[in-house]
Amino acid sequence: MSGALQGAHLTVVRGRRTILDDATLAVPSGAVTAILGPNGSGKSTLLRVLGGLWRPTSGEVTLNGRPLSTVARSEVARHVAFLPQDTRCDFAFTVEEIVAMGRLPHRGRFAPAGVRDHDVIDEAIASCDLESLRTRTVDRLSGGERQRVAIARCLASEPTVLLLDEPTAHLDLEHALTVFALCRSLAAAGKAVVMATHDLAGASRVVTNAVLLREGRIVVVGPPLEVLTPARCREVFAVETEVLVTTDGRPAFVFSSPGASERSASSLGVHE
Amino acid sequence: MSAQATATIRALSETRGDTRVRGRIRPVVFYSVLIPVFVLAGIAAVAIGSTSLEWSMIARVLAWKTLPAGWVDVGVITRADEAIVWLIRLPRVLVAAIVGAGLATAGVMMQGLFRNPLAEPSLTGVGPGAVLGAVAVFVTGWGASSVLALPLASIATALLALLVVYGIATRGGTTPMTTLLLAGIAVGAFLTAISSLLISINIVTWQAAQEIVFWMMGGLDSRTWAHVWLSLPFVLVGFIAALLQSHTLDLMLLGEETAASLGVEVEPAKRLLVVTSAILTGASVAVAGLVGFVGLVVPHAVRLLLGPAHRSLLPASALTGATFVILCDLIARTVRPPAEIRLGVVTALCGAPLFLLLLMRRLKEEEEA
Repeated sequence: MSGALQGAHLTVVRGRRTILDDATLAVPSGAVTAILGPNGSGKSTLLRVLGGLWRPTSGEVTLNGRPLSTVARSEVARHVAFLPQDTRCDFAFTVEEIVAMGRLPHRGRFAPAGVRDHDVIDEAIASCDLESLRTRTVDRLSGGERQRVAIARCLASEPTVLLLDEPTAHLDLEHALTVFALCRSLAAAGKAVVMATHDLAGASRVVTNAVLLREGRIVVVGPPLEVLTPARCREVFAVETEVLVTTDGRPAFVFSSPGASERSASSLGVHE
Repeated sequence: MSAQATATIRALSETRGDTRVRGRIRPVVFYSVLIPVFVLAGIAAVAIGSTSLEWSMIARVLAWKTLPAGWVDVGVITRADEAIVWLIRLPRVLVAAIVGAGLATAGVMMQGLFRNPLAEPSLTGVGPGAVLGAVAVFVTGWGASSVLALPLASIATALLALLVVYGIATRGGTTPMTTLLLAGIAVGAFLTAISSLLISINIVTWQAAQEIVFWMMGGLDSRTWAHVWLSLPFVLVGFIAALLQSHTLDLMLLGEETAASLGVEVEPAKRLLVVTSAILTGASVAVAGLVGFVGLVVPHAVRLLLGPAHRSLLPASALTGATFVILCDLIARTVRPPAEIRLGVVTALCGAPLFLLLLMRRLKEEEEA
């Protein structure tokens, strides 16, 4: 197993509840990995443990072969970026100020931002389509705009691993697709991108690798087509799945609740 | 070069030129107004009083006291001039500045730490803790033994209160901020009750009761150089510690998880910030009693003008707080001479309407947006 970030037998127990149960996985560089699973299946916990924000009750995460618990937080910050679910901020920082904070792991406590810092900040702002909002304050942005600012802040850290918790939540279709495309190009540039998401249909068109979680345990790891089989989707998500192939040759998943087809058919007065 | 790249570069150079943020003013403008106001307020506070003094006399006394012997002609300085400038008014103005800077800095830190613009310095039980120490000194009569007994006792109990609150709120090495807030409020209420109990069962003279009530309203009457030297080191060290944490404070405003992911060791950082703000608050309350609204209004107002980034917010708030308290104290002792109004009354009377004004401005802006 290879990858920039690896987790071995990760278990997280909070009180009497086991939130994550013996999860072992490698986050491959150069690929987008989706962490899928219903609410409460442990997706966010797995991301936090992988990013070193939570220490696992047992098991170990390694970054480039070194145990994460032995690496200083500031050094982890230079390699691993984390996008939390909640990016709300009531304080009137400008978009540029927030994105610039992504450079802090690379700067000394009193070193002013250098030319290179500014270049990276500009690039991050441009790739998230934020130029027009640069001097706007984030307390006045919409949820989707704020999400893009947070993603740009992650990019400004120039991480080798990006851990994104619901990166497309709050985003309209256009910007959600932009984020997915951005993830693909980051992976193409050699970075390891991991996203926890509920958008199975959207993510499955982008990702090369999917991890399916259920009640804290990893059910299966593999390409979306192999992970999201109709039988598994019925078992884990309690939904029916139909797989189509679109004109670009990629799979498209269509989900429906069980029995929905019969219900809608009967409500239309159609009888078999 | 592709058309898209050219467009991107053009967009970048255009936005680079326009770095002004709506509603904010530049730090240069801020300081070029505030520094003269601060200096003038200081001079006015030394000059104005029951005996008015020429500014030239103030300058002469200051020069005589601070420059090497023989540089200043001391012939025209009377003993009364010397006493009024050097022993009575100057230490009082300096204590006002120290207290204002300390409370404003502590307010900035607490608001950053709690991610809440309504947080104020004494939230973690520090204020009620300081009060209890002072009340204990009053009712035991230790205050008579030394002028420093009261401030030292109140700093000690303030830090002790914080220790208790932090200990209660911490489980397994982590301290959730909501728990800290709730523990602070509960412990604060408990300590306030003990203070009231001590007052109600121990008061023998009307005068002692009045002294305690006056102290709790905040005031700078009869402050001496001893009070300056007692509070200055704490506030200076606290301010520098705060400034060193300015990036951490910025990151904490984005939430603890984001801060941690950007390299902040969150729990040690929180401990350092809480202790620093407690030292600032404790030292201020110790020499001035409870002076409300400075730690709430000043950071709020300065943040509106300069933005929330702490590297500029901290020094600007400290200077604004110092100026604000000097002016409030000047009002407190000159409005109805020879009696004084309590300082805490003036800061609240000026601060509360100011706060409401800021609030209404914000609501109006939100309506327009």
